[in-house]
Amino acid sequence: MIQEELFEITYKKNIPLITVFELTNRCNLKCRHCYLPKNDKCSGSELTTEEIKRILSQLKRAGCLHLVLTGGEVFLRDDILDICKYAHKLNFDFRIFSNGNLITEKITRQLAESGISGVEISFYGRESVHDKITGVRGSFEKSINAVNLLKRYKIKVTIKCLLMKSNFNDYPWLIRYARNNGVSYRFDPTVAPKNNGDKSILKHRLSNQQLKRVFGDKDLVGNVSFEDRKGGGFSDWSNDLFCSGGHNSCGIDPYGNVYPCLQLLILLGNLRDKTFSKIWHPGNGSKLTQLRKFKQDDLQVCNKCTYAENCRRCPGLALLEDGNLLGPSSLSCKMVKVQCDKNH
Amino acid sequence: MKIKRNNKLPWRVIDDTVYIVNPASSYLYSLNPLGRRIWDLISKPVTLEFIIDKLYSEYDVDKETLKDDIEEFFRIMGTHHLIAN
Ligand code: SF4
Ligand code: SF4
Repeated sequence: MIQEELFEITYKKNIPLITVFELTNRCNLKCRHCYLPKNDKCSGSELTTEEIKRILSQLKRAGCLHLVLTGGEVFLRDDILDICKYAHKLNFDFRIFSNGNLITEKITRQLAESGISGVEISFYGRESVHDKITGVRGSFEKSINAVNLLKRYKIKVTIKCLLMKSNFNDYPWLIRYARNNGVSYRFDPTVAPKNNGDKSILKHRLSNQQLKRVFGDKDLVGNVSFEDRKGGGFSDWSNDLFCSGGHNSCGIDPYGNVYPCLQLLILLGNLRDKTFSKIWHPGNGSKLTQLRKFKQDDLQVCNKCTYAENCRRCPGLALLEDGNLLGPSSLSCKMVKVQCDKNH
Repeated sequence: MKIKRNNKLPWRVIDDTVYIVNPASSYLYSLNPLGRRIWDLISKPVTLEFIIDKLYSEYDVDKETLKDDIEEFFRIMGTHHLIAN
């Protein structure tokens, strides 16, 4: 109830309640579905510790409360614990998304002291399936170790899993593992194109038959989220064919670029050139102002669609995969049809 | 005995309301404008008497009622670990 009230106020007033902050694009694994293009030379150097701290202070002033620190793999940054301590000092509700492979006992102890609200570890299934997907033998065991350490230090753990053709059969195993170990779990069936628009990884998406099972499985109800990696796990709160991106949620990449969401790659500005508040509250005629003005009526196809009421259209995917911010998202169409047809 | 807010918790002032998160329970609390004033006052350790005197000077209220309300407020805040003694 309070949650909804806060979401509504911040949505209406464009207060960035939720920020997903990518701290690095570097990674120690080679996941086959990764949306970050390889050889990402695009954007110069990663933000420094001091730059990140300055941005966090600006986010606090702008009203951001929920902060997700993600990557790449954030533990490749030497300063990650320092950043966590700073986020705690600024009273953020902050979480880390990680593959867990670099989490040691020493790191866990310091994380526990840092006031972190939780850590979400990516899992894909049993050892052979997991290691095949990550491309690194031994990665499963390290992720399991990380879960055990985090639990031992009483840090809230969620295991999250991108559901694909290759790990679909393992999801019941993951649920059992999570339950036996007293940790939460979350599944996301959204394989997105790479950030540069490359669609080659879409072949990993679930088939209609598999999606149907996902929507029909009572163990998954309430534990499936959509476009979760990019929206920070909060995207489910939006309730129309637009979304919270650019209103009360925001994405920042490791080079200081600000986006409405890390799935909605409309570049709003760079934090090395401008303050967050200048970027988030720009003048009339800016891309962001325009985005915020769009209404359901502007969606000519979706507006007439009989599935619209149940659809979780992701504007980011509509733009990245289908090339039109105001058009249908082919993945959202597929999902809602499978979901609704199941009820018939 | 001095009272201080639990500064370990995530919180923000948004649209004149204080929102406080309890990460352990994922519970979200909100404080109205008077609660917000008290939250500001307990940013450093202060006594209950100090808070009552301060609010009495700022609001047009009966002192006994104010005292009862503030005590009840801190009782609830204490139950939810939102303050540290
Ligand atoms: S753009 Fe997509 S992922 Fe991002 S907040 Fe909107 S619906 Fe969620
Ligand atoms: S199902 Fe497709 S066309 Fe219909 S509202 Fe959703 S995205 Fe638009």
